[in-house]
Amino acid sequence: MDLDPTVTLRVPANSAFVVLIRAAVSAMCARLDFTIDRIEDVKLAVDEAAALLLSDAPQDTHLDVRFTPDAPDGMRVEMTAPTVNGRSLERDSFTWTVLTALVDEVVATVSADRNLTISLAVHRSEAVRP
Amino acid sequence: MSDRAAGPDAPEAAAPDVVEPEPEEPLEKIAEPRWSTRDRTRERELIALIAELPEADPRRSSARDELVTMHLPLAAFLARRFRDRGESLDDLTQVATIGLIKAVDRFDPQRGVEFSTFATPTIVGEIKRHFRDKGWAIRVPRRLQELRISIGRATAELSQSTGRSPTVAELAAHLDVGEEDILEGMESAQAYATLSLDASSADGMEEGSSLADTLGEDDPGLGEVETRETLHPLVATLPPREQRIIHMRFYENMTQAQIAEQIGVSQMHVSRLLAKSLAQLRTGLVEPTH
Repeated sequence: MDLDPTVTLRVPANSAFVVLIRAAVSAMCARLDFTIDRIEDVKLAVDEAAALLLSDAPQDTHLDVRFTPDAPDGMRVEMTAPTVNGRSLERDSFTWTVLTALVDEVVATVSADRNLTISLAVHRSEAVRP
Repeated sequence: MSDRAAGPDAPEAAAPDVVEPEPEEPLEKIAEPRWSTRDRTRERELIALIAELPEADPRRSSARDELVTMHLPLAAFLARRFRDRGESLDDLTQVATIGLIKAVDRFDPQRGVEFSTFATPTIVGEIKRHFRDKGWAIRVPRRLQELRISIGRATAELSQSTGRSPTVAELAAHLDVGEEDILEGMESAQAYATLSLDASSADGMEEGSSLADTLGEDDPGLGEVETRETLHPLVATLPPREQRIIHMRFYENMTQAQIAEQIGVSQMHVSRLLAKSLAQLRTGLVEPTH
């Protein structure tokens, strides 16, 4: 099977739709056999990232979510939305602190056309990071 | 006001699917605050005054006020029986007081029952109505609420035997339900949490009265949290327990399960408190640049 396993979800950039992202995230995590502890963490991280993206997204735009497999036993959740001012996620912000505590890896990038992408890598291991 | 003003003996026309919060103990077992005979006598006098005097009479309204004031401890007492359900104690006390005022206005001395006998179910009815109207942000069906409770219990059991938090598949197998049910149940826990988003921090000590709150065990060293200056004043507005949880999760990198164990609540409860605290901090951080 060389079918592309990527799952994408596009929702209006409105907090009312975050619940759909959460549902997709938890279902994906369950497929990967994450513990519920881990799932709750990932959901919190997605909430946090979505809140940040939505706070800066112009009206009538979309929030795109991409789920891709990420070895070993994990996935990458990429959330992208346009921003008004092209600002990225500051490393000394609280959001950054929260995200890095909740998931294994956080990458924030701003494209030339001012789309902010927050990419979260999550793996099955429940081991506490040092 | 039609059915909204229904007295205690009017049937509650609730949606059959929605679980009503029940007080922790059956009402019969709830001892009302102690009364002296003098209070009882005064109560009867006031009731007689209210019944006799015309509505416009200022003496009537002062008698009414006095009767309400006399029973405020009863209202506060009943409100406390419903705490730890995501609503702030302040709000509950206010709702209970409204129930009390309604009871005073509706009481008919001709019926031959004591006022407090009449007032208790009226106040409780008002609190229940409050939960029904405003409680759950999303109406959560009984099935899901029961599931949420079973998941909490199963999580504790499985964590005990494996030393880590269970997976969705493990919970589904343990409870003999589908994995989707587990996911749904987990999500419904959050629906319950959203209602306490704006619960004031002042009653943080009151709600979720775990033993850990009253024990002064290891200091979370909140000083470190203060290094983030924009955050410090915001974190400080959170109830002490939430502050500790934020610290343990984000600055000590403890897992939700570890925090749950240390604080003495369920992992799902930790998850709820974290989500609630983050949302609260987020709203505070939106305007200023961070």
